[in-house]
Amino acid sequence: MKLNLYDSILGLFRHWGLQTRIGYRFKDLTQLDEALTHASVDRVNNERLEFLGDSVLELVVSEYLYRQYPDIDEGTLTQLKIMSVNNVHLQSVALNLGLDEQLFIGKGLYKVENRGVKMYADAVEALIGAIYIDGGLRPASKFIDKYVIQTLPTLEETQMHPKTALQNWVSKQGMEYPEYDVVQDPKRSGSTNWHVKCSIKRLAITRTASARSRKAAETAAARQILDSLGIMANGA
Amino acid sequence: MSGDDLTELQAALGYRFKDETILRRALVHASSRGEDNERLEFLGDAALGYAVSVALYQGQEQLAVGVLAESKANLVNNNRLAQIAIDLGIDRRMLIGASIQGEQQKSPKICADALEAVIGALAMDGGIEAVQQFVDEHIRPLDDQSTVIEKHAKTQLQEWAVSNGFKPPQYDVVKHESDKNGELWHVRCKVVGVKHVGKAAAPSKREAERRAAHDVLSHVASTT
Repeated sequence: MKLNLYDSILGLFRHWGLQTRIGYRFKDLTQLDEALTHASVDRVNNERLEFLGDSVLELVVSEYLYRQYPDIDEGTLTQLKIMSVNNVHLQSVALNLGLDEQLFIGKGLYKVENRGVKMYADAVEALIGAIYIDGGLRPASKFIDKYVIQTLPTLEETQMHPKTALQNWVSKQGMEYPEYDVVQDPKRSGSTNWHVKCSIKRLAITRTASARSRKAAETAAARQILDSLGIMANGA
Repeated sequence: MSGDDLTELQAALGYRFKDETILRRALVHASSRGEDNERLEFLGDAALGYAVSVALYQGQEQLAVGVLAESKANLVNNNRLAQIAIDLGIDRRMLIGASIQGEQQKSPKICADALEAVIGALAMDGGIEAVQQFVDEHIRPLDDQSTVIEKHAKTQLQEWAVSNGFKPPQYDVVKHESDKNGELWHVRCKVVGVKHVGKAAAPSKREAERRAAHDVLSHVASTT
């Protein structure tokens, strides 16, 4: 009996830290448990909530963009939307929230080194679905706004220099700045081009690019990473 | 467009706009001059997806994720949306530029896009609740065109065949028509050993197969 009471009190504090980070307290924690259960677990898992959360995310992002940018055309709106629901972007949201520590995955997956971008992106969508079911559209929108929308470059920022745009994005996600390493220096190798590697450690992303100047190679590498993030970069 | 026309349309939609200019804009195709309906379509697409997903998720049955996704795709496919747009009289009230008048005027895509734009207008004028109500009334009713059950007809028939010692059903396209009004697939469904051959026609192959399977199913159900 004592133990049960202890357990139930402890139960109340389950996912306390995560809920604090999310900025939402669940009335029914089983929804949150479900959202944190990857599809590799073969019982109730987060696939249904992900289905729901995906639609909630699309709606909230679309409505935000529609209102925020009254003067841009449908094509640009669509591009901006794609950027915000991009899996790598959602993965970084997941890591930013520490969802990777909380995700309950099937045994087979523990052995896999890279558990995949999609797994984290799905978890974010499932989390959105869970907040929606537990508290409705308002708290779900609030979460999406804070973690998915505000962490994206603004339309103006996408016009900036790729290195600046990338740096802004990683810092909004609470990650360390991208690192640029010279892989090949023409002065030493005798070749004509610089080869530079740009990496974001937390996301385990690296891209290497080459150009006549070191600066241009860095820019090209940053641009490649932005591409994989689905972020439009129109700058230099 | 006359005010009467707009009033009629609103009656068909089952919603009275506070601001009719937004409804007008939803009816302006991109080929026309002035502010067109593309941005509203962008919004409407997401609002529709949301309302359908929520309705399916919260339905009485707890549907598996595969069924949820399939049912959704089925409910919001362009041919179906186009049909709804036509039923509501949206196509007749659209403003289309001279460049594409005639030929593709009523292509399923244009009609479906206009319906999405109208849904976007509903979202702006009445909030997402207005969209959900509209979806409940006009999109979600699972008529015999596309129901979850119908969706499962192929699976059901397959299971029935296997459990009764028959080979899996075979589907053949008998005829495929295509013109400016869209496509029509004629499909035959045959289970070796079952006399009744299922036949059906629909704008998509999948839908035709499903209906043909349903045809066989309803036959075997009535004889067993």
